[in-house]
Amino acid sequence: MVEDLHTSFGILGMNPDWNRLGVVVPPFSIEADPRFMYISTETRRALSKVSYMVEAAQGASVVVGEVGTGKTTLATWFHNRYQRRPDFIAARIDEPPKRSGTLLLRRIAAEFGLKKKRATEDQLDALRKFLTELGEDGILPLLIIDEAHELGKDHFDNLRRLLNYRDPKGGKAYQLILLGRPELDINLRDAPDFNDRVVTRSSLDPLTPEDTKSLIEYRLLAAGRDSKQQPLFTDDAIQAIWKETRGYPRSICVLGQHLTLELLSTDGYQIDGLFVEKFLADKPDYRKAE
Amino acid sequence: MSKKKREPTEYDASTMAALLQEKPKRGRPPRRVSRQNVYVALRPDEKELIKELAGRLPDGLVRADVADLAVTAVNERLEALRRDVAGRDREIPEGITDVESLYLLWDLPLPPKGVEEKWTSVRCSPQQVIELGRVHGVLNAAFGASRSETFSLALVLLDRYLSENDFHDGEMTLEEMRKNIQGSF
Repeated sequence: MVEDLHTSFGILGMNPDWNRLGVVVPPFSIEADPRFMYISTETRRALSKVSYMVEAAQGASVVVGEVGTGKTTLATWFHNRYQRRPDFIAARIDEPPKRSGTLLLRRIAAEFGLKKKRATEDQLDALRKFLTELGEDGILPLLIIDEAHELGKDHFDNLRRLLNYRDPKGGKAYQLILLGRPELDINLRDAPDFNDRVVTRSSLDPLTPEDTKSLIEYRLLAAGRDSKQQPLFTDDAIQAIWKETRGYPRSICVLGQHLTLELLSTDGYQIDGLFVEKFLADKPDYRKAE
Repeated sequence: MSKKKREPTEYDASTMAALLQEKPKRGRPPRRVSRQNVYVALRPDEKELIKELAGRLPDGLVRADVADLAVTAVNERLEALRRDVAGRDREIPEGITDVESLYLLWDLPLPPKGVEEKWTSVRCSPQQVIELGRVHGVLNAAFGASRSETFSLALVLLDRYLSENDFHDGEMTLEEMRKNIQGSF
Protein backbone atom coordinates (compact mmCIF):
# COMPACT_ATOMS: atom_id res chain seq x y z
CA MET A 1 0.00 0.00 0.00
CA VAL A 2 2.89 2.33 0.78
CA GLU A 3 4.28 1.33 -2.60
CA ASP A 4 0.81 2.10 -4.08
CA LEU A 5 0.95 5.59 -2.70
CA HIS A 6 4.51 6.06 -3.94
CA THR A 7 3.38 4.73 -7.33
CA SER A 8 0.43 7.09 -7.50
CA PHE A 9 2.77 9.96 -6.70
CA GLY A 10 4.98 8.66 -9.52
CA ILE A 11 2.14 8.33 -12.05
CA LEU A 12 1.15 11.89 -11.39
CA GLY A 13 4.71 12.87 -12.19
CA MET A 14 5.29 13.88 -8.57
CA ASN A 15 7.76 12.74 -5.98
CA PRO A 16 6.65 13.13 -2.38
CA ASP A 17 7.73 16.62 -1.40
CA TRP A 18 9.29 15.67 1.93
CA ASN A 19 10.71 19.18 2.24
CA ARG A 20 7.21 20.43 2.89
CA LEU A 21 7.22 18.39 6.12
CA GLY A 22 10.66 19.73 6.99
CA VAL A 23 12.39 16.37 6.48
CA VAL A 24 15.02 15.34 3.95
CA VAL A 25 14.30 11.58 3.87
CA PRO A 26 11.12 9.57 4.49
CA PRO A 27 10.87 9.49 8.29
CA PHE A 28 8.93 6.23 8.68
CA SER A 29 10.85 3.76 6.56
CA ILE A 30 10.47 0.20 7.92
CA GLU A 31 13.99 -0.82 6.89
CA ALA A 32 16.09 -2.00 9.86
CA ASP A 33 18.22 1.14 9.87
CA PRO A 34 20.04 1.79 13.17
CA ARG A 35 20.10 5.53 12.40
CA PHE A 36 16.33 5.53 12.85
CA MET A 37 16.38 3.18 15.82
CA TYR A 38 14.32 4.65 18.63
CA ILE A 39 15.62 3.32 21.93
CA SER A 40 12.75 2.72 24.33
CA THR A 41 13.42 1.77 27.95
CA GLU A 42 13.00 -1.93 27.15
CA THR A 43 15.36 -1.68 24.17
CA ARG A 44 17.89 0.13 26.32
CA ARG A 45 17.61 -2.59 28.97
CA ALA A 46 18.27 -5.23 26.30
CA LEU A 47 21.18 -3.24 24.87
CA SER A 48 22.88 -2.76 28.22
CA LYS A 49 22.43 -6.32 29.47
CA VAL A 50 23.34 -8.06 26.22
CA SER A 51 26.34 -5.86 25.45
CA TYR A 52 27.63 -6.35 29.00
CA MET A 53 27.33 -10.14 28.67
CA VAL A 54 29.02 -10.06 25.27
CA GLU A 55 31.95 -7.93 26.43
CA ALA A 56 32.36 -9.87 29.67
CA ALA A 57 32.53 -13.07 27.54
CA GLN A 58 29.66 -14.72 29.40
CA GLY A 59 28.21 -16.73 26.47
CA ALA A 60 24.66 -16.78 25.15
CA SER A 61 22.09 -13.97 25.38
CA VAL A 62 18.49 -14.19 24.24
CA VAL A 63 16.19 -11.36 23.08
CA VAL A 64 12.54 -12.17 22.38
CA GLY A 65 9.83 -9.98 20.94
CA GLU A 66 6.72 -10.20 18.81
CA VAL A 67 6.77 -9.39 15.10
CA GLY A 68 7.57 -5.72 14.54
CA THR A 69 9.05 -4.93 17.95
CA GLY A 70 12.50 -4.11 16.57
CA LYS A 71 14.50 -7.34 16.87
CA THR A 72 16.12 -7.06 13.45
CA THR A 73 17.00 -3.41 14.05
CA LEU A 74 18.62 -4.48 17.31
CA ALA A 75 20.51 -7.28 15.51
CA THR A 76 21.75 -4.72 12.97
CA TRP A 77 22.78 -2.39 15.78
CA PHE A 78 24.84 -5.10 17.52
CA HIS A 79 26.39 -6.24 14.24
CA ASN A 80 27.35 -2.71 13.15
CA ARG A 81 28.78 -1.78 16.54
CA TYR A 82 30.88 -4.90 17.07
CA GLN A 83 31.93 -5.29 13.46
CA ARG A 84 33.88 -2.04 13.61
CA ARG A 85 35.58 -2.89 16.91
CA PRO A 86 39.15 -4.21 16.44
CA ASP A 87 38.75 -6.53 19.44
CA PHE A 88 35.68 -8.27 17.98
CA ILE A 89 34.81 -10.22 14.86
CA ALA A 90 31.07 -10.24 14.28
CA ALA A 91 29.03 -12.57 12.07
CA ARG A 92 25.29 -12.43 11.53
CA ILE A 93 22.82 -15.05 10.35
CA ASP A 94 19.41 -13.62 9.46
CA GLU A 95 17.62 -16.83 8.58
CA PRO A 96 19.18 -19.92 10.11
CA PRO A 97 18.97 -23.13 8.05
CA LYS A 98 16.02 -25.10 9.37
CA ARG A 99 16.93 -28.65 8.51
CA SER A 100 19.86 -29.66 10.69
CA GLY A 101 22.43 -28.52 13.22
CA THR A 102 25.24 -29.44 10.84
CA LEU A 103 23.91 -27.03 8.24
CA LEU A 104 23.89 -24.34 10.89
CA LEU A 105 27.53 -25.10 11.76
CA ARG A 106 28.44 -24.85 8.06
CA ARG A 107 26.63 -21.54 7.82
CA ILE A 108 28.46 -20.23 10.91
CA ALA A 109 31.77 -21.35 9.39
CA ALA A 110 30.93 -19.60 6.12
CA GLU A 111 29.96 -16.37 7.95
CA PHE A 112 33.33 -16.40 9.73
CA GLY A 113 35.07 -17.03 6.37
CA LEU A 114 36.00 -20.66 7.08
CA LYS A 115 35.78 -23.60 4.69
CA LYS A 116 32.70 -25.78 5.02
CA LYS A 117 33.28 -29.38 6.14
CA ARG A 118 31.10 -32.33 5.31
CA ALA A 119 31.14 -34.04 8.73
CA THR A 120 29.77 -32.38 11.88
CA GLU A 121 32.81 -33.27 13.97
CA ASP A 122 35.22 -31.90 11.35
CA GLN A 123 33.24 -28.65 11.21
CA LEU A 124 33.22 -28.37 15.00
CA ASP A 125 36.99 -28.99 15.06
CA ALA A 126 37.61 -26.30 12.46
CA LEU A 127 35.43 -23.84 14.38
CA ARG A 128 37.10 -24.69 17.70
CA LYS A 129 40.55 -24.09 16.20
CA PHE A 130 39.41 -20.80 14.67
CA LEU A 131 37.68 -19.55 17.84
CA THR A 132 40.54 -20.41 20.18
CA GLU A 133 43.14 -18.88 17.87
CA LEU A 134 41.16 -15.63 17.78
CA GLY A 135 40.92 -15.74 21.58
CA GLU A 136 44.71 -16.03 21.83
CA ASP A 137 44.98 -12.86 19.73
CA GLY A 138 42.58 -11.05 22.09
CA ILE A 139 39.76 -11.04 19.54
CA LEU A 140 36.31 -12.13 20.65
CA PRO A 141 34.06 -13.70 18.01
CA LEU A 142 30.40 -12.70 18.17
CA LEU A 143 27.63 -14.57 16.40
CA ILE A 144 24.19 -12.97 16.02
CA ILE A 145 21.30 -15.18 14.93
CA ASP A 146 18.06 -13.42 13.98
CA GLU A 147 14.79 -15.39 13.60
CA ALA A 148 16.22 -17.78 16.19
CA HIS A 149 12.74 -19.15 16.98
CA GLU A 150 13.31 -21.34 13.92
CA LEU A 151 16.15 -23.19 15.66
CA GLY A 152 15.50 -26.69 16.95
CA LYS A 153 17.06 -29.06 19.47
CA ASP A 154 19.76 -30.21 17.02
CA HIS A 155 20.82 -26.60 16.38
CA PHE A 156 20.92 -25.76 20.08
CA ASP A 157 22.99 -28.87 20.75
CA ASN A 158 25.69 -27.76 18.30
CA LEU A 159 25.64 -24.18 19.60
CA ARG A 160 26.06 -25.59 23.12
CA ARG A 161 29.07 -27.64 22.04
CA LEU A 162 30.65 -24.51 20.63
CA LEU A 163 29.95 -22.69 23.91
CA ASN A 164 32.03 -25.29 25.74
CA TYR A 165 35.19 -23.94 24.15
CA ARG A 166 37.08 -21.42 26.27
CA ASP A 167 39.29 -18.47 25.48
CA PRO A 168 42.72 -18.20 27.19
CA LYS A 169 41.23 -16.04 29.98
CA GLY A 170 38.62 -18.65 30.83
CA GLY A 171 35.66 -16.89 29.21
CA LYS A 172 33.51 -18.44 26.47
CA ALA A 173 35.42 -18.71 23.19
CA TYR A 174 32.56 -17.03 21.31
CA GLN A 175 29.59 -14.87 22.18
CA LEU A 176 26.13 -15.59 20.91
CA ILE A 177 23.05 -13.36 20.63
CA LEU A 178 19.80 -15.08 19.69
CA LEU A 179 16.86 -12.89 18.64
CA GLY A 180 13.46 -14.34 17.90
CA ARG A 181 9.75 -14.42 18.49
CA PRO A 182 8.45 -15.64 21.88
CA GLU A 183 8.38 -19.23 20.54
CA LEU A 184 12.15 -19.13 21.02
CA ASP A 185 11.63 -19.37 24.78
CA ILE A 186 9.41 -22.42 24.29
CA ASN A 187 11.96 -24.08 21.98
CA LEU A 188 14.71 -23.41 24.49
CA ARG A 189 12.81 -25.38 27.13
CA ASP A 190 13.24 -28.44 24.90
CA ALA A 191 17.01 -27.92 24.98
CA PRO A 192 17.72 -27.64 28.72
CA ASP A 193 21.49 -28.15 28.33
CA PHE A 194 21.71 -25.08 26.12
CA ASN A 195 19.07 -23.18 28.06
CA ASP A 196 21.22 -23.45 31.21
CA ARG A 197 23.97 -21.59 29.37
CA VAL A 198 21.80 -18.59 28.54
CA VAL A 199 23.08 -15.79 30.79
CA THR A 200 20.54 -13.07 30.07
CA ARG A 201 17.05 -12.88 28.62
CA SER A 202 15.47 -9.66 27.44
CA SER A 203 12.08 -9.00 25.97
CA LEU A 204 11.02 -6.24 23.59
CA ASP A 205 7.49 -5.25 24.48
CA PRO A 206 5.14 -2.99 22.49
CA LEU A 207 5.54 0.72 23.22
CA THR A 208 3.48 2.76 25.66
CA PRO A 209 1.63 5.87 24.33
CA GLU A 210 4.48 8.04 25.70
CA ASP A 211 7.08 5.90 23.93
CA THR A 212 4.96 6.01 20.75
CA LYS A 213 5.12 9.80 20.87
CA SER A 214 8.86 9.70 21.50
CA LEU A 215 9.38 7.26 18.59
CA ILE A 216 7.47 9.50 16.18
CA GLU A 217 9.32 12.61 17.36
CA TYR A 218 12.68 10.81 17.19
CA ARG A 219 11.99 9.52 13.67
CA LEU A 220 11.07 13.01 12.46
CA LEU A 221 14.15 14.49 14.11
CA ALA A 222 16.39 11.79 12.57
CA ALA A 223 14.84 12.54 9.17
CA GLY A 224 15.87 16.18 9.52
CA ARG A 225 12.83 17.96 10.97
CA ASP A 226 13.62 20.92 13.19
CA SER A 227 12.40 20.27 16.74
CA LYS A 228 11.44 23.97 17.03
CA GLN A 229 8.75 23.55 14.35
CA GLN A 230 5.18 22.97 15.48
CA PRO A 231 4.54 19.23 16.06
CA LEU A 232 3.69 17.35 12.85
CA PHE A 233 1.50 14.96 14.85
CA THR A 234 -0.81 16.37 17.51
CA ASP A 235 -1.25 14.52 20.81
CA ASP A 236 -4.68 13.20 19.82
CA ALA A 237 -3.20 11.91 16.54
CA ILE A 238 -0.54 10.03 18.48
CA GLN A 239 -3.20 8.58 20.78
CA ALA A 240 -5.19 7.39 17.74
CA ILE A 241 -2.04 5.89 16.18
CA TRP A 242 -1.21 4.05 19.40
CA LYS A 243 -4.77 2.69 19.62
CA GLU A 244 -4.62 1.46 16.04
CA THR A 245 -1.11 -0.06 16.21
CA ARG A 246 -1.17 -1.28 19.84
CA GLY A 247 2.34 0.18 20.21
CA TYR A 248 4.16 -2.15 17.78
CA PRO A 249 7.01 -0.05 16.34
CA ARG A 250 6.78 -1.47 12.81
CA SER A 251 3.01 -0.89 12.69
CA ILE A 252 3.54 2.66 13.97
CA CYS A 253 6.03 3.30 11.16
CA VAL A 254 3.78 1.77 8.47
CA LEU A 255 0.84 3.91 9.59
CA GLY A 256 3.11 6.96 10.01
CA GLN A 257 4.39 6.48 6.44
CA HIS A 258 0.83 6.31 5.08
CA LEU A 259 -0.30 9.32 7.09
CA THR A 260 2.60 11.52 6.00
CA LEU A 261 2.10 10.56 2.33
CA GLU A 262 -1.63 11.25 2.72
CA LEU A 263 -0.80 14.63 4.24
CA LEU A 264 1.49 15.44 1.31
CA SER A 265 -1.38 14.74 -1.10
CA THR A 266 -3.37 17.50 0.62
CA ASP A 267 -2.55 21.10 1.50
CA GLY A 268 -2.25 20.32 5.20
CA TYR A 269 0.76 20.80 7.44
CA GLN A 270 -0.29 18.87 10.52
CA ILE A 271 -1.79 15.48 11.34
CA ASP A 272 -4.42 15.54 14.08
CA GLY A 273 -6.74 12.93 15.55
CA LEU A 274 -9.50 13.61 13.01
CA PHE A 275 -7.06 13.20 10.13
CA VAL A 276 -5.97 9.79 11.47
CA GLU A 277 -9.57 8.65 12.05
CA LYS A 278 -10.63 9.76 8.55
CA PHE A 279 -7.64 7.96 7.02
CA LEU A 280 -8.43 4.74 8.91
CA ALA A 281 -12.10 4.97 7.90
CA ASP A 282 -11.25 5.60 4.21
CA LYS A 283 -8.45 3.03 3.98
CA PRO A 284 -9.10 0.31 6.52
CA ASP A 285 -6.94 -2.24 4.68
CA TYR A 286 -3.79 -0.10 4.53
CA ARG A 287 -2.07 -2.72 6.72
CA LYS A 288 -1.96 -5.22 3.90
CA ALA A 289 1.43 -3.71 3.10
CA GLU A 290 2.75 -5.23 6.36
CA MET B 1 2.45 28.18 91.63
CA SER B 2 5.85 28.90 93.09
CA LYS B 3 8.97 27.98 91.12
CA LYS B 4 10.85 25.06 92.67
CA LYS B 5 14.33 26.02 93.75
CA ARG B 6 17.18 24.16 92.02
CA GLU B 7 19.31 21.99 94.28
CA PRO B 8 22.90 23.33 94.48
CA THR B 9 25.47 21.12 92.73
CA GLU B 10 29.21 20.70 93.24
CA TYR B 11 29.83 22.89 90.16
CA ASP B 12 28.22 25.85 91.83
CA ALA B 13 31.13 25.92 94.24
CA SER B 14 33.64 27.35 91.78
CA THR B 15 33.94 28.70 88.27
CA MET B 16 36.78 26.27 87.52
CA ALA B 17 34.62 23.27 88.42
CA ALA B 18 31.87 24.56 86.15
CA LEU B 19 34.31 24.95 83.25
CA LEU B 20 35.62 21.41 83.69
CA GLN B 21 32.12 19.95 83.75
CA GLU B 22 31.39 17.27 81.04
CA LYS B 23 28.83 18.83 78.77
CA PRO B 24 27.04 17.27 75.78
CA LYS B 25 29.01 18.00 72.60
CA ARG B 26 27.42 20.21 69.98
CA GLY B 27 28.13 20.44 66.24
CA ARG B 28 29.96 17.98 64.00
CA PRO B 29 31.61 15.02 65.72
CA PRO B 30 35.40 15.29 65.81
CA ARG B 31 37.16 13.03 63.28
CA ARG B 32 40.77 12.06 62.83
CA VAL B 33 40.58 13.28 59.23
CA SER B 34 38.08 16.03 58.62
CA ARG B 35 35.46 15.54 55.93
CA GLN B 36 34.99 17.72 52.90
CA ASN B 37 31.92 19.30 51.37
CA VAL B 38 30.72 17.94 48.03
CA TYR B 39 27.98 19.91 46.29
CA VAL B 40 25.22 17.90 44.63
CA ALA B 41 21.64 18.55 43.53
CA LEU B 42 19.24 16.15 45.24
CA ARG B 43 15.53 15.48 44.82
CA PRO B 44 13.34 15.62 47.94
CA ASP B 45 12.88 11.83 47.81
CA GLU B 46 16.67 11.37 47.82
CA LYS B 47 16.97 13.46 50.97
CA GLU B 48 14.34 11.21 52.54
CA LEU B 49 16.24 8.17 51.28
CA ILE B 50 19.40 9.37 53.05
CA LYS B 51 17.45 9.56 56.32
CA GLU B 52 15.98 6.13 55.73
CA LEU B 53 19.33 4.58 54.82
CA ALA B 54 20.80 5.99 58.04
CA GLY B 55 18.19 4.03 59.99
CA ARG B 56 19.24 0.81 58.26
CA LEU B 57 22.96 1.15 58.98
CA PRO B 58 24.57 -1.05 61.64
CA ASP B 59 24.96 0.34 65.15
CA GLY B 60 27.90 2.67 65.37
CA LEU B 61 27.22 4.31 62.03
CA VAL B 62 25.14 7.44 61.56
CA ARG B 63 23.53 9.54 58.88
CA ALA B 64 26.76 11.42 58.25
CA ASP B 65 28.32 8.13 57.05
CA VAL B 66 25.69 7.50 54.35
CA ALA B 67 27.47 9.62 51.72
CA ASP B 68 30.83 7.86 52.29
CA LEU B 69 29.25 4.43 52.03
CA ALA B 70 27.23 5.33 48.94
CA VAL B 71 30.39 6.53 47.20
CA THR B 72 32.15 3.28 48.15
CA ALA B 73 29.21 1.33 46.67
CA VAL B 74 29.23 3.11 43.30
CA ASN B 75 33.02 3.03 43.07
CA GLU B 76 33.15 -0.71 43.75
CA ARG B 77 30.25 -1.47 41.38
CA LEU B 78 31.90 0.40 38.55
CA GLU B 79 35.27 -1.21 39.30
CA ALA B 80 33.58 -4.63 39.10
CA LEU B 81 32.08 -3.69 35.73
CA ARG B 82 35.50 -2.63 34.46
CA ARG B 83 37.10 -5.83 35.76
CA ASP B 84 34.43 -7.90 33.97
CA VAL B 85 35.24 -6.32 30.62
CA ALA B 86 39.00 -6.07 31.21
CA GLY B 87 40.94 -6.79 28.04
CA ARG B 88 38.34 -5.24 25.79
CA ASP B 89 38.87 -1.90 24.07
CA ARG B 90 36.17 -0.08 26.06
CA GLU B 91 35.81 0.29 29.82
CA ILE B 92 32.04 0.52 29.49
CA PRO B 93 30.20 -1.89 27.17
CA GLU B 94 28.78 -0.60 23.85
CA GLY B 95 25.13 -0.85 24.81
CA ILE B 96 25.47 1.27 27.94
CA THR B 97 24.77 4.63 26.39
CA ASP B 98 23.74 6.75 29.38
CA VAL B 99 23.40 6.71 33.17
CA GLU B 100 19.93 5.18 32.91
CA SER B 101 21.47 2.20 31.11
CA LEU B 102 23.47 1.48 34.27
CA TYR B 103 20.25 1.47 36.31
CA LEU B 104 18.77 -0.95 33.75
CA LEU B 105 21.87 -3.14 33.69
CA TRP B 106 21.86 -3.50 37.48
CA ASP B 107 18.05 -3.77 37.73
CA LEU B 108 17.74 -0.62 39.83
CA PRO B 109 14.57 1.50 39.89
CA LEU B 110 14.87 4.36 37.39
CA PRO B 111 14.99 7.86 38.89
CA PRO B 112 11.78 9.87 38.40
CA LYS B 113 11.86 12.57 35.73
CA GLY B 114 10.88 16.22 36.05
CA VAL B 115 11.26 16.40 39.84
CA GLU B 116 12.83 19.59 41.12
CA GLU B 117 16.28 19.22 42.64
CA LYS B 118 17.93 21.44 45.19
CA TRP B 119 21.61 22.02 45.62
CA THR B 120 22.98 20.82 48.90
CA SER B 121 26.29 19.75 50.34
CA VAL B 122 27.14 16.26 51.54
CA ARG B 123 30.26 15.62 53.57
CA CYS B 124 32.64 12.88 52.50
CA SER B 125 36.01 11.63 53.71
CA PRO B 126 38.93 12.73 51.51
CA GLN B 127 39.36 9.23 50.00
CA GLN B 128 35.65 9.10 49.09
CA VAL B 129 35.85 12.59 47.56
CA ILE B 130 38.62 11.25 45.31
CA GLU B 131 36.57 8.11 44.50
CA LEU B 132 33.47 10.14 43.67
CA GLY B 133 35.57 12.37 41.43
CA ARG B 134 37.00 9.33 39.67
CA VAL B 135 33.60 7.68 39.10
CA HIS B 136 32.12 11.00 38.00
CA GLY B 137 35.06 11.47 35.62
CA VAL B 138 34.48 8.07 33.99
CA LEU B 139 30.70 8.51 33.66
CA ASN B 140 31.09 12.08 32.49
CA ALA B 141 33.60 11.09 29.82
CA ALA B 142 31.43 8.15 28.72
CA PHE B 143 28.09 9.91 28.54
CA GLY B 144 28.26 13.35 30.09
CA ALA B 145 26.92 12.37 33.51
CA SER B 146 26.92 15.06 36.19
CA ARG B 147 28.26 14.69 39.72
CA SER B 148 24.69 14.81 41.04
CA GLU B 149 23.62 11.96 38.74
CA THR B 150 26.65 9.97 39.90
CA PHE B 151 25.76 10.55 43.55
CA SER B 152 22.09 9.63 42.92
CA LEU B 153 23.25 6.33 41.42
CA ALA B 154 25.48 5.84 44.46
CA LEU B 155 22.54 6.28 46.85
CA VAL B 156 20.39 3.77 44.93
CA LEU B 157 23.25 1.24 44.95
CA LEU B 158 23.68 1.66 48.72
CA ASP B 159 19.92 1.26 49.12
CA ARG B 160 20.09 -2.00 47.14
CA TYR B 161 23.07 -3.20 49.18
CA LEU B 162 21.34 -2.52 52.50
CA SER B 163 18.14 -4.22 51.25
CA GLU B 164 20.09 -7.36 50.45
CA ASN B 165 22.09 -7.38 53.70
CA ASP B 166 20.65 -7.04 57.17
CA PHE B 167 22.91 -5.27 59.65
CA HIS B 168 20.39 -4.61 62.38
CA ASP B 169 21.96 -6.83 65.01
CA GLY B 170 25.62 -5.86 64.76
CA GLU B 171 27.84 -2.95 65.53
CA MET B 172 30.34 -1.94 62.91
CA THR B 173 32.91 0.74 62.23
CA LEU B 174 32.88 2.74 59.02
CA GLU B 175 36.01 0.91 57.83
CA GLU B 176 34.44 -2.51 58.46
CA MET B 177 31.31 -1.51 56.59
CA ARG B 178 33.35 -0.24 53.66
CA LYS B 179 35.21 -3.56 53.51
CA ASN B 180 31.88 -5.39 53.53
CA ILE B 181 30.66 -3.35 50.56
CA GLN B 182 33.95 -3.83 48.72
CA GLY B 183 33.73 -7.59 49.16
CA SER B 184 30.21 -7.79 47.84
CA PHE B 185 30.82 -6.76 44.22
